[in-house]
Parts: sequence; structure tokens; C-alpha cells
Amino acid sequence: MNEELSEDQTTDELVTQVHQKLVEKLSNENKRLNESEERFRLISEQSLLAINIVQEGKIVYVNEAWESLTGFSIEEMKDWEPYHFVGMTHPDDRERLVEQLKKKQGGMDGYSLNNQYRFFNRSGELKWISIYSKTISYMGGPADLATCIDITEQKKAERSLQESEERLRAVFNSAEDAIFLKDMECRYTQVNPAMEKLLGLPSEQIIGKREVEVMPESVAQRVREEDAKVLEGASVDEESYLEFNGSRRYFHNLKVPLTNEEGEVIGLCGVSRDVTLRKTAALAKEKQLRTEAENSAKTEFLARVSHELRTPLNAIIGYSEMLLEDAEEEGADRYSGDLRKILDAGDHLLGLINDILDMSKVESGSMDLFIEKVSIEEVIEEVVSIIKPLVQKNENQFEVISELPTGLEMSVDRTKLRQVLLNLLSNASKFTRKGTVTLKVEELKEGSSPEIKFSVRDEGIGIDQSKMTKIFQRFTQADEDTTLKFGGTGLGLPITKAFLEMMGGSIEVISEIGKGSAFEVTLPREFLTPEKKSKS
Amino acid sequence: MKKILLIEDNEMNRDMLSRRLERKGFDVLLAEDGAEGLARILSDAPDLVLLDLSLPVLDGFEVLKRVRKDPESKSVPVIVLTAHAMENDRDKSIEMGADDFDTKPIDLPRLLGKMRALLAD
Repeated sequence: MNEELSEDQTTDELVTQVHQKLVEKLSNENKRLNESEERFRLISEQSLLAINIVQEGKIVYVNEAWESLTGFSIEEMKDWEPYHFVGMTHPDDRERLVEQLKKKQGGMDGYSLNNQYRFFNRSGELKWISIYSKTISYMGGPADLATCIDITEQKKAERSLQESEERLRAVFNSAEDAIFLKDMECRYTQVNPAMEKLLGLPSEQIIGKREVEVMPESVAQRVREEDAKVLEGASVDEESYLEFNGSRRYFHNLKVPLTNEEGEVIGLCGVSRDVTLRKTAALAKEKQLRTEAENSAKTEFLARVSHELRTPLNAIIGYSEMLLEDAEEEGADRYSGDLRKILDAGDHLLGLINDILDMSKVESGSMDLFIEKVSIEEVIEEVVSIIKPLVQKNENQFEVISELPTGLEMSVDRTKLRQVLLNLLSNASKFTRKGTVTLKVEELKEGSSPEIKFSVRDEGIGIDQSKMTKIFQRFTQADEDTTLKFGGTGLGLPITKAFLEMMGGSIEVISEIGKGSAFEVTLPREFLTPEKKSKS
Repeated sequence: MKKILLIEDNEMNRDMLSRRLERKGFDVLLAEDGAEGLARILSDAPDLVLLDLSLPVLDGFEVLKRVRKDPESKSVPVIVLTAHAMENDRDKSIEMGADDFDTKPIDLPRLLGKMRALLAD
């Protein structure tokens, strides 16, 4: 202030000026004081914090926020003791509050009451508050200034967050898929029970470990490479497999980076689903399709080959037959024996080609059935007329016994039934000399649906007991000498059996060495499609 | 003398079957592919056609279809012959209007039986 006075001013002037300055200063200070009070009033009244002051055991001040929090006005609360609030507090929190108040009263100067309590306001609403109290000097004496914040919404949010976390944890714990979290160093930070089961380790032995410590190196290497990609922000969605005790298990692995709010990668989350069942089913299906494709290619190839083989065979059979006819007409007997041999060999070759084609069709599942109503008598007549010369060739008697009512029909694949009977009868004729070959047909009515039984009996060499099942296997005859002596492909009986099974029938054999064999074929009179069968 | 048209592309089969049929007293006409066969059916009006299925130019099924469509030829008896011995070939042929079906190698007595049955109608 002195600097402001110039040297040549008079004392009067100086006094006046000083007075003026003092007045000015005082009025400024008054103003400043009023401003400060105003500021405090505004802050206190506009504050979201509820404020009260307790002095000498009585409430002396509350702000508007305190009023609206409790639902009581300042007039109502004036002169309340702090204990008054205990009655409004949630029963579970009362004891704690009382204890705190006692400590405060017990002269623990400067003690801070800083805690969270639940209390019911005037309208019975439950409020969560966080309260902070401090001893201050007020109006020349000590007082308690309590500031209090309504944290009800925050508590609700915390509760719902907790519930949501509990739900997520339940999912995490009960998931069948293995779920895991890893940090930036690729250490497991969290694993669920399915992951423990997958690795065969309790979580304590997994948490904090790297992949290489919990799985075989071969797998760990792949996992490591995947993790590195994921931590760079990529995601992994692929199938892999693990070998467990020699058996392979397939997994569908999903890995995504975990990020914080700023979008920085802070780790990764992975889910591994065991898809072994689905995968093995898919692989089996794939294999089946491949096999089917291979089979159909094989069948097509065989059909073509058989066509190519038959064309020249046509010429061999046709020309030798023609020459044989010529030779017989012209009485050139010296050629007919040889021509007959060529013709027989041609016929034999044709039989082989047909058998191989049939067998391969049966095996690849491409043999079709043509079921129709046929007169059994007609089929028998047809078969008998074809086979008669062959039966009689070895000086055999041929006996045909039919015990069927006249005109009886059955639904069957005519060509296949004929082939079955011709095969059995030609076998019987081949292995019998100077004996009797019998074909007997009868109807069986004992079962739920009528059946037709065809029996072919011979008095041939018979089949050894130990070879009974072998004769129905492909490319095997009862013994190798038989093939040398009697010829044949060894496919006749397997084809017969396969045809019968396709038509819902069966074949059985009874035989005695040296006495002969009996083949008994049973077929349903009404052919049942697989759907009809499953219904009945 | 009955006029038989044999439509067959394989030379040996054609030669053999035609000679055997001639010896049984038939007048045998020949065609080497489906188109020639179709033309001869219309120009020579055979009493019966023996038709191979796998033929060049027009296959047997196509010949059969056209024969049955043309009013001039639709009633000529046709026996389909094939080396495939495929059951569905037989069904398909009959469905498309063939009168009978036989497989190769030819069993002459059997084929003659089928031919005579159709020629007698």
C-alpha cells in the first residue's frame, strides 16, 4: 500500500487515503466472506452428497440431499440424536452401526466412521449408503461432520453383475466343452472341469502352466503356433485330433483373442469340443461312399470286361456249333468229337464269366431283384427240360416229385430261382454216377407265412462234415482234387446262397461221405420287402 | 420264305447267325448299324427284326423307338439281342415295344422257338 503513496502528498491527504483504503479493504473482505458463505451454501445444498453436522449429541445441520435421502425434513430431524438412525437401519447392520457410534462417543478423537450400511427411509425403501464422518471444529466447538452417499444403484448393479457372473460360472463349470483362458505369456489362467478332464489334471496343476507342461510336445507345438496367431489378433476355428492310449479323438477348437476396453489383446479364450462321435460317423460315411463308388466302378468294369469276353466267345461257340451241325449232317464223325470239345470248353468258359460277373454284382450290392408271380410248376418244367440231358449223362435216374397243389404260384425272381435249381441239379449230376438224382418240391405251412421247399438229393460222393461250411465260401470247393476232377469255379454255391438270401430264403445241406448229399432250399411263398418285414 | 432283318455291328456274329438262320430256311437281310437297319425296315418290310442293342450311329433303343413311332413299321415283330445280359435291358426293351428278348451267345433252338412263335401270330 505504501508504494502507492507519492512523496509530496500531505498528512491529511495521507490519512484520508489510508481510511479510504481501509474502508475499501474491509468492504472487500466482507464481500469475500459473504462469497465464501454463499459458495458453501450452494455447494452444500446442490451437492449429491448428503451432509449433516452433529454437535453435543444433536443434529444441528442437514443439507437437502440428506433430507431427500431419509425422507425427513430438517425441522423434523433437528435435535435428533445419531442413535435415532439405528432404528431405521437394516437389522443385520444395526450392531455394526452401534459399535461404530460407541467408539466415536468413547472419545476416539478424529475417528472416522467410514462404512456401508442399509437403512429404510421414511417410505420404507431400502437404501444402501456409504458414510464418512470426521470430527471438525464448528461454531467454536467440536462437531461431527458426516457425509453420506446413496450407493443403492451401485449395489444393485454389483448384485446383478454378481448374478450374471454366477450364471456364467455355472455354464463354464457345467459345459461339456473344455474352456480355458490364457494370458499374454500363454499361461493358463482359468480352466473349467471339462478341460481338467481332457488334460487329466486338476486345475491347480494347469493354472500358471504353459501348454508344453500339460500336453505332449507334438500337440503342444501346434497349440503354441495357434496361440501365437491368436495373440496377434487372429481367431482359430479348426478341427484337430489327439491320440489317447492309441485311440484317436477329434476336437473342434475355437480360439479368440481377449481384449481390454482399449482394444488391446490381453490374452485368449479357447473352447475345445470333442467331436469324435460325429467325426468317426462322417469318416465312416465317407469310407462307405468311397467303397460304394469303387464297387460300382468295379461292377461297371466287370460288365464291360464280360461283354468283351463274350463277344469272341460268341464266335467260338457259334462257329463250333455250326461246324458240329455240318459235321453231323454230312456224317463227318471224325470231326465231331473235337468240335464237341471246343463247344464244351466254350460253354464252360461262358459259365465262368457269368459266375464271376454274378458274384461281383452280389458283392458290390448291385445285383437287382425282379420279383414276379410265377407258376412253380412252370419253373420246374423249364428247369427239368434243361437239366435232363446232363443228369442222364452219367447214367443217372432223374426223379421229380411235386407235392404242390396244381397251379400254385409264388412271388420270386424267376431267373434267380431257375439258376439256383440248375446249379444244385448240375452239381448233383456231376458228382453222381449210376445213381438217382431227385428234385422234390413241397409247401411248408407250419410257420406264420407259407414257404416253398425245394430239395435236391443225389447219391454221389458226399461231403465231409468238416467241409460243410466251406462249400458256401467263395472260390473254395470241398477240396482241391474235386476241382481237378469235376471242374467248376467254386462260385456256384456261394452265388446260390447269396441269391436265396436276397429273396429271403435259406439253404441247408445234409451229407454223408460215399452215400450222397441233400441240399434243401426254403423260400417264402410271398416275397417280403424289407419294409414289410420290419412291420410284421 | 420268311424275310428276317438282322441288325448287328459285329461282323462275326452277323456272319454266324445269318448263315445258321439261312440253313434253317430263312431269307436273311443284314444291316451293320442302327441307321442302316431303320432304312432297311422301311424299304424291305422284313417279317421279323433281330436287333442288337449296342449299335453305332443309332443304338438299338433309338431304332426301336423310331420303328414303333412310324405307322409303316410299328407292327413288325422285333426281338432284341444283347450280350450284356443285363436284366434291366430286357425290361427296358419290352417297355419300349420289343416283342421278345434274348441274350448272346445265341442258343439257336431257343431263339428259333421265339422267332417261330412271333412269325406264327
